[in-house]
Amino acid sequence: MNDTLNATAAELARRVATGEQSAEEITRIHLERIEATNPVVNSFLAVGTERALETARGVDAKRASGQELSALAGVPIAVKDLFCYQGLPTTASSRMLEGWIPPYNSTVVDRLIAADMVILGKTNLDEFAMGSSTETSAFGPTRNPWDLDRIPGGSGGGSSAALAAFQAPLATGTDTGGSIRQPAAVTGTVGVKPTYGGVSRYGVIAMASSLDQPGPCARNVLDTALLHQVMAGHDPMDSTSIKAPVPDVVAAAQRRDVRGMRIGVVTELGGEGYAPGVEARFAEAVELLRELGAKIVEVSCPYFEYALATYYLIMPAEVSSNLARYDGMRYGLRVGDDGITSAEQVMRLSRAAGFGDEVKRRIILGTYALSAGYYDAYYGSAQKMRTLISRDFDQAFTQCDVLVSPSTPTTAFRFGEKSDDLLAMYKSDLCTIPSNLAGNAAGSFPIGLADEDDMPVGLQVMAPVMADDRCYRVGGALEEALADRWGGPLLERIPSLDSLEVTR
Amino acid sequence: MAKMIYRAFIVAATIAWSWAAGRIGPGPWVPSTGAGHGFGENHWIGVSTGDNVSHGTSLVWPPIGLALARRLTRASAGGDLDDASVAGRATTWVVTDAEGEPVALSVQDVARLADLARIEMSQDQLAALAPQLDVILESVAVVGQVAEQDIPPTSHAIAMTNVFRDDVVTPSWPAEAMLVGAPAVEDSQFRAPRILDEEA
Repeated sequence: MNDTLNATAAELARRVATGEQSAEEITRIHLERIEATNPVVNSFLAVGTERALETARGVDAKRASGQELSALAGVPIAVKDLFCYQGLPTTASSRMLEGWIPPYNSTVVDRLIAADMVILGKTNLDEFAMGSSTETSAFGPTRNPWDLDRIPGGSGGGSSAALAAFQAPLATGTDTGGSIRQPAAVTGTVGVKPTYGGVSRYGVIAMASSLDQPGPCARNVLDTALLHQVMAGHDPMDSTSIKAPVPDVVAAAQRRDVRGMRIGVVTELGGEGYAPGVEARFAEAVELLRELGAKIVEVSCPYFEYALATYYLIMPAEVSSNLARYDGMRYGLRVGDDGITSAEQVMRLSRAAGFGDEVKRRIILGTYALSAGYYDAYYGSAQKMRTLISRDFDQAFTQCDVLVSPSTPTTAFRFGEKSDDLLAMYKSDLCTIPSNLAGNAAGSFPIGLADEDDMPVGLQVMAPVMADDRCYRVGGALEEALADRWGGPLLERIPSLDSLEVTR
Repeated sequence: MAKMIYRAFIVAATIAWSWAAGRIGPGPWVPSTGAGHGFGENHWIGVSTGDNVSHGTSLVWPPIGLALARRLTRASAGGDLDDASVAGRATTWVVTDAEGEPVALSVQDVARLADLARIEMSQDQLAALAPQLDVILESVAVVGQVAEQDIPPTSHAIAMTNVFRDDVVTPSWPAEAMLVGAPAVEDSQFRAPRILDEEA
C-alpha cells in the first residue's frame, strides 16, 4: 500500500505543514487511487478532480507564504452526498435530485473549506439515507472492500468504503439511526455520532430532523477526533444547534487511559439475534477494558426493547414531512408536465418516478402514523416511548460514565440477503437507535474480525449528552491496546486491496 | 308488467350511466379506487390474478341500482359481502397474505395514503405494499401500550425553547441562484403546471 494512502490524516497534515509533501501531490495520489478503484467499489458518485487540485495548490501556496495552517489543512476528505456542496451535484443518491447542483454550501462543508481541507468528491449512500446497506441507492450499491460480495453498511456505506479502500483518509457522514456507526463497524473503521445539535444540520438534506446528526468518519480515533473538532460547533443557521463549546475530543482521543472509568454493558443489547463472532469480540473487548483499569458494570435499560419500534414510527413520520418538499415544482425531477396535466398530477408522477421503493414505503408509513385517528396510537405513543428511553439513559448514566454494546448485531451481510425481509434489515440498527432517540453521543470502534466470516466487528460507546469526549477516551484506549495485541491496525488485514484496482 | 318495465328501465339507465362513467364497456371492468381517479391496472371481477388479491366489488353504482349491484357482487366475489360493504364504498379489495389471512391494511387504505403523499402508484404496487406495511405496523404497534399513560412526549432529544436571533436584515439568496435548479422558469419565476384539474 502506497505510503501516502496508508498515512493517517494527522500525519498528512503534518507533512503539508512542514512542506515535507505537497498537498497537491497528496491529493493527486488519492485521486488516482479513486480512479483506479471506484469502478469496483462504487463509493464515489462524483469526483471533483480539478477543484480538488486547485484547493490543494492553494494550501501549498498559503504554506509557502508563511501563513499559519489549520490542523487538517491540505488533507483530502470524502463528503457524503447528503451535504450540499456547490462544486458538485448533491443527489442524496436519488433520481429525484439527479444532477442537482445546490446554490449554497452546507455549514459543515463551509467549515471543511475554511479549514483548507481538500474535498475529493461525494460518496454513495442509501437513497435519502434510508437503509442499512447502501443497496437502495439509485446509482448502484457500494461494495465492502473487505469482501466485494458484501455490503459496506448504510446509509453511509460510500464514506466507510472510501476509508476502508484507502481512497480518502477522512469522510463525513450523517447518523439518524446508525448510518455512521453501523458502516464503521462492518468496515473496520471509526465513526462517531456527536451529541444531537453538536454539528450543524444546515444544508444537510433532511431525513428525520429530530434524529439526524452529521459526524466524522476516519480509519483511527485521533483522525476522527480532529475531524470532529472541525465539523462541530454552534451554527446560528441551525436552531437546534447547541450553544456550547465543543467538548475536547482531541485531548480525549490522545489520553489512551480508562483507569477508574465506570463502563456499563447494556443487558438488552445482546443475546438472541446477535452473531456469535460479534458477541465473542465484544466480550473480549469488554474484558480488555477491565484489564486496562475500567470498572465494568451490567446495566439494564428495559425500554431499549421498544427503541426499534419507536424509531420506525418517529422516523417515517418525520420523513413523510421532510420529503414533501420534493414536489417537482422548484427543484429536482419533474415528470409529466405536458402543458395539460395539473400540478397535483405532476407532483404525483414526479414523486413516483423520483423516489425508490424504500423511500415510498417510509413516506406512506409516516403518512399513516400521522393521519387522523391513528396519531395517538402510533406517533403520540412513540413520543412517550422516546421519553422513557431517554429516562433509561439518564438512570444508566448515574451508574456508569459510558455504556458499551456491539455496534450492530451482525457482520456485513451479503448483497440481497436482507432485501426481502424488511424487519431483518431494520434490525441492523437495534444497538444504534437508542442514542439517536435520546440525542446523546455515540461512536463505533473496530475491535476485531468475527471467526465465522473474518469480517470486522465494532464496539459502540455511548456517552451522556455533551460528553462526546468520553467516547473518544474509551475508543482511543481500546485502539492502542488492540493494536498492541494485534501488532498493527486492523485494516492491515484487509485481503488484497490491490484486487480493487481495475486493470487498465 | 309495470314492474318489469320499471326494472328494465333501471337496468338500462344504470348500464348507460356506468358506460358513460367508464365503469363498464368493452374490455376489462375498470375498478374505482377510493380516490375517485387513478386507474391503474385493470382487473377482471372475480378472477384471482395469483397475487393474493381477491377482488370484491369494484363498481360504484348509483343508489338506485344497489340491489343489482349486490347480486352481481356476490356472484363475482364468490363469497359473502354484506350490504354495508357494498353500499357507499367504492372498493372492497380484500388483500390476503401468503397464509390466506386477511391483513389489516386494505389496498384502498394504501391508495388513500398514496394520495395524501402525492405519489402515483399502480394497483400492483399498492397491493404489494399493503402487506409490507402491515408487517412493519404489526411490529411497531407495541408502542401503543403507553398510549394511555401520563408520560410527557419527547419531540426533540435536547429540549430548547425560544431560540431567537437578532431582528436584523441579512442578505439572502439572489433569485437567479434559486432558479438555477428549477425544472421550468419563466419571467424569473418558477413556472408551475396548471393548478386546476380538468375535473375542477
